[in-house]
Amino acid sequence: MKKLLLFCVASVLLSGCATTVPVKQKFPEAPEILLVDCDKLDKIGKDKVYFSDFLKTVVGNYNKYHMCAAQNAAWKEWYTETKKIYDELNKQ
Amino acid sequence: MWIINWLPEFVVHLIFLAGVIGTIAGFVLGFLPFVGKYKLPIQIISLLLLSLGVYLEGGLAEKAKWELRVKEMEAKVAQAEAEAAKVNTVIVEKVVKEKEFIKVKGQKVIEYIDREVKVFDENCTVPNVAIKAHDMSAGNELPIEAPKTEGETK
Repeated sequence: MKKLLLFCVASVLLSGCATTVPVKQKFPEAPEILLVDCDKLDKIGKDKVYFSDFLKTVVGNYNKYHMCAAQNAAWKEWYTETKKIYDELNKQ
Repeated sequence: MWIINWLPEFVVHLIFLAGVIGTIAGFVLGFLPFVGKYKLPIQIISLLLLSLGVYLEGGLAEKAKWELRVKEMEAKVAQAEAEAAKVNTVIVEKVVKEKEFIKVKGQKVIEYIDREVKVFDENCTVPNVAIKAHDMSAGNELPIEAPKTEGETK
């Protein structure tokens, strides 16, 4: 009888120990456009080339840099804005 | 509390109700013949039931409170996801527009080269080493030194 009573008391006391985490937060999805790799820079690839063509390749490479820089800036903006949203959520 | 998850809600109420009724019966209705005969066991059992019932009712109330908080949190998470999706849309639009501008500007510079620089093509030759230097830089490669002639090694 005593053992039964002890078991009942123990199970009631232990019943408070179980906890679950019911709300799951998904890792925020970044836009596909930001996941694209930066273009590789173009090479001349010839021994002789006109100056204007040489310059065009250089300009094309600068363009690729600017594209990549824009993408990088967008990544930074995405991180800052998304962090702000999720920080706000966890603050409340 | 696993016991709350495992026990149906009505059982908890039933335990509490039985405890209350038993306690009243054991302590107040002792003058009734049946209750009077088993007064002590009724008092002990009903007090135990009442204690357990109060404990479980407390757990049930706590569970309800947590469920409410979970629902609130779920709503907030959904709202955050919607806001994040909005941010994504804004960023995508911005990047697409910016890349388009960059492309157009690059095209304008190419047009400028065709118009203003092309005329110097005949007079201005690009040395082979300059092309090599450019290509090495574009490919992020180390410069390959030309093999030194016999005179240079001495």
